[in-house]
Amino acid sequence: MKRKLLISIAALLVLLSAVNAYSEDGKFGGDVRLTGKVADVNGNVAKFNEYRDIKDGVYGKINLKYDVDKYFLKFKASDIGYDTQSYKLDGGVWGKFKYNLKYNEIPHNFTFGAKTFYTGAGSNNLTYSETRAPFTAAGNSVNTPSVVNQYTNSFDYSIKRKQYGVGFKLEMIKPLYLDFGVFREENEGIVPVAAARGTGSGNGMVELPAPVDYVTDNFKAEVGYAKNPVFASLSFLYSKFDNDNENLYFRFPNTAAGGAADRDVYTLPPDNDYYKLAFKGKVKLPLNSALNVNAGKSRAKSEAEVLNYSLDGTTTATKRNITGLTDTNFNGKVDTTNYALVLNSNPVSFLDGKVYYKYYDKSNNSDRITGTVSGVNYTNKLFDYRKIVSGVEAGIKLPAKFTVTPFYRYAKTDRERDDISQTKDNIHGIDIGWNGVEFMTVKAGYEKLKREAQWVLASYGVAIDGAPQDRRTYKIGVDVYPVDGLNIGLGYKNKRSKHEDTGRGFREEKNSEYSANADYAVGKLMTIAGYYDYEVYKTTQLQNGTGASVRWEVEQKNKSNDYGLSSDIYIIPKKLTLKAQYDNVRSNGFVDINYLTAIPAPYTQDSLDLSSWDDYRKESVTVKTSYNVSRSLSLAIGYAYEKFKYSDAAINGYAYYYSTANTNPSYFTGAYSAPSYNANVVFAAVTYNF
Amino acid sequence: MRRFPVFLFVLSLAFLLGLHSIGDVEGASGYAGIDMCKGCHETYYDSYASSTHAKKAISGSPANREACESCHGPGSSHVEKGGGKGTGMFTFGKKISTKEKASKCLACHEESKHLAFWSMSKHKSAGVSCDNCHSIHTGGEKNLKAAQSILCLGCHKDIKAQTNKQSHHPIKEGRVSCSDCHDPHGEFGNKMVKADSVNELCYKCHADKRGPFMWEHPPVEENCLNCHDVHGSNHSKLLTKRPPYLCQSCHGSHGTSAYYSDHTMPMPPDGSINSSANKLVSRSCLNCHSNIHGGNGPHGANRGQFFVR
Repeated sequence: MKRKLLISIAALLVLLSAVNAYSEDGKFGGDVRLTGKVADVNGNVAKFNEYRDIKDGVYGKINLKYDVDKYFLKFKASDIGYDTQSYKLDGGVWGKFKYNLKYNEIPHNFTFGAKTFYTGAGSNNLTYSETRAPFTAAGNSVNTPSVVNQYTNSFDYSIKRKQYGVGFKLEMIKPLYLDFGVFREENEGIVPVAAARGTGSGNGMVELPAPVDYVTDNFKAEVGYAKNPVFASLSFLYSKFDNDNENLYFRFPNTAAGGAADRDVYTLPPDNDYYKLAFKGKVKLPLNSALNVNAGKSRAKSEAEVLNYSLDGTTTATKRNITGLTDTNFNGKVDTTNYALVLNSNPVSFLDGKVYYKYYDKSNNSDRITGTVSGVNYTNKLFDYRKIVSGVEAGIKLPAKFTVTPFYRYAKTDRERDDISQTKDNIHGIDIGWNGVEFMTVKAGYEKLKREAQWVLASYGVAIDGAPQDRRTYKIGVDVYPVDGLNIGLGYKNKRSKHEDTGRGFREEKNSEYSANADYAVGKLMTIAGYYDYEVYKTTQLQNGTGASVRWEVEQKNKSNDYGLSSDIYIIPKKLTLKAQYDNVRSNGFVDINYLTAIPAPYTQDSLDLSSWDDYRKESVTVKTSYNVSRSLSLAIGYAYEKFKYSDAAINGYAYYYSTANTNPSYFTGAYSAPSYNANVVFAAVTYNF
Repeated sequence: MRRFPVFLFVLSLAFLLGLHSIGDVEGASGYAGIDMCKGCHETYYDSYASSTHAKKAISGSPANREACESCHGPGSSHVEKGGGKGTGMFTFGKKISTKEKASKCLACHEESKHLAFWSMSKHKSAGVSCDNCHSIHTGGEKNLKAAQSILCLGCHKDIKAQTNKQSHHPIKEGRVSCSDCHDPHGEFGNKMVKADSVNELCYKCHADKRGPFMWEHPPVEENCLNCHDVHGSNHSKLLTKRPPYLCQSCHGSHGTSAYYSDHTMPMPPDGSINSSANKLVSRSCLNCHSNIHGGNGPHGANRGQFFVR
């Protein structure tokens, strides 16, 4: 807290010194803002600050600009010293070159205060010193405080991204240009992963804190030519991903020994290298037309050690050696080839159309490695695919200010895959627009997708991503401007997909969305705006297994409401302004489970259902008053309240440990549990402009 | 069907050759000069003077041509009529066609990599013009009229509703902007994404998912959108549906159960629970199949191949 305050004040002092030195010529300007915040958060702080860092403290924001006829320099900084801090420096000589340097931090917080019996959370080695894992003795109760207290090690599930970038663009060689940049992203933190203990379902598992120590370095260079009638660019991208921990080692839970014999391995993302060479071009043609071209080739490579054993077991660890491995290292190599052509034309005022063709090939040239486990051979399968998309669309202007745009698109995908080897999509539709009167515009659209597939009913069902499908989408939007300052918008969208041929798995999807918004300016006194969005999303799926006892149908339904109201009231125009905003978003989910055969005793069809299913409500209120003391100085004070209430059948009553009659235990760490919170934030800001 | 693309191009070329172009001819005289503009429109002049457009060091900038009249057209007639609306100046008002407005900007900016592909963009065909998003008289970042999260979502209201959902990319927090993924000025990718495929786009930030992995999950390798709603979702991790039912869209339920209300928390006081519960509670299927994006786990049906290590 003190450090951040000192950093902010020091930055302010440096800045004010600069202002005194250079502001006289009128080319130096900017603003400095200091915002003090006092935050009172009850409940899940990680969810409240999922992508933020709001807490008690002083937040600094600086914008500086030095701009003369020949060159310029801009500097921006915000949230100095916090997890969301950001800095950017732009400069250059007008018409010659530009450069930029930037640094950003982006937090992503999941759960604070997660618990585990393992030591070493955040490292790649998790162990525990007890003879056996906790809670395995018969009679332990999950609701006994002493049991939960055995989770003595606490940590945070969170990732912090640090982004560094440098860019340079040479413009003085027009019509040629040169553009290159170097970008580094560092990811640090802990995320939840998990490991099944047994080899079958229901055999228990253990949730593990996995370390995130990633560094990705990117270099991009582009040279281009831009002068009508030609544009051409050639670019090269190299990206290198390094993970400090390619494996997470953990002591297999519920074992008596401890040591190398029960050291299990969970694999983490491997290092990889990625290259891409791409060309983009355009040539203008007669009749107000242009041919656009895009072509690119890329390669991604990785390397990983092939493990020669695995552990499993519901009570004690059983080591299974993997014999006959055809290679001890896996070399991954995936190549892609892409090219696309787009011919667009606007030959006459009433016609604007385009035809296009795109080819994309993903070729997997990775190693295929065979190994034998308990007498059974296993070989990894390599997935790749080729996709061709072509289509045409024509925007036609009709009398009475109607515009119609019919379109047709054809896509064919061939896959190296057992279950769905090929799909063909035929998509057609039309977009209609009308602005025949000054106070209103209307837009409507219709799209139909017919997907045919060559598929087989695999042991698991039918993969939804390539299954045969019929989909229809309708949408309409109306914008009305009845009087000056008043805008009203209404919208409706309906999408329905059917997968009738698949027989098992996902069958149907329905989505209806209604929206309304309005904003009104009451002269120069105030503005008021509001929005409302209501969405119903329903899916149906069916499991029709191999036995008559495995037949059930599930319908999931989510109703979402999203609405808000805001107003700016100019109490004293250009002097004193009051801003108020209220937002409310909520979702109500329901899972209707319908057994098509005997219902498990003692249930009924209705009591099987899950009534809380990602149910949540988030409300936020912000009130802020700002006062311009002078042209240079302004003050603001405000209050914000936010409440998030969440209920879900899979999270409510969260337990860190459970078992089936004290066998096959499962161990959790608290990831994503209890996300509800409410928070009050009071803030005050002073801004100095120069 | 294989010849369909060739057919389309031949058809289009034949169509184009059969038409005549209609060119626009513009008058080239009658400029009033910037001092005349400044006399009446001082506020607009000030914003122009502090903008990049006023830099003489940039060849071809309005400062090296007719300044205000580079965009608004010759102003002599406007001056002679005593000013006012509808007196000969080109304005960027609602009654002016989007094509006319865009042509003023494209006259200079088309010769850049940022606008090279505007003519094939979805925004252009939807009737969007430059001034819908930009104003040189506001002086903001890239002359945008508002922050992207406000500007873009002002039209894309369905996306706005998605970004407000409990699981979302940090768009409204300002940590990710629309233009990080989309090029509003035109791109070759579907939805004008800045990549040749959806996965290529996602891997720019999520390079850990790039693999290549020994054990692959084909829907993951083909398209991240098979499981994720990138703008926002009611379900954690931006998932399109909530596990286990997302997974069961394709996969059987280990052949036994629908994971009904008996498999939920809270559990009985002794900590025991239905044996299928670990497929529903907390992260559901991911409680075991945690490496669902692919991995290099050990051989064996119940290890690497099934993404449990």
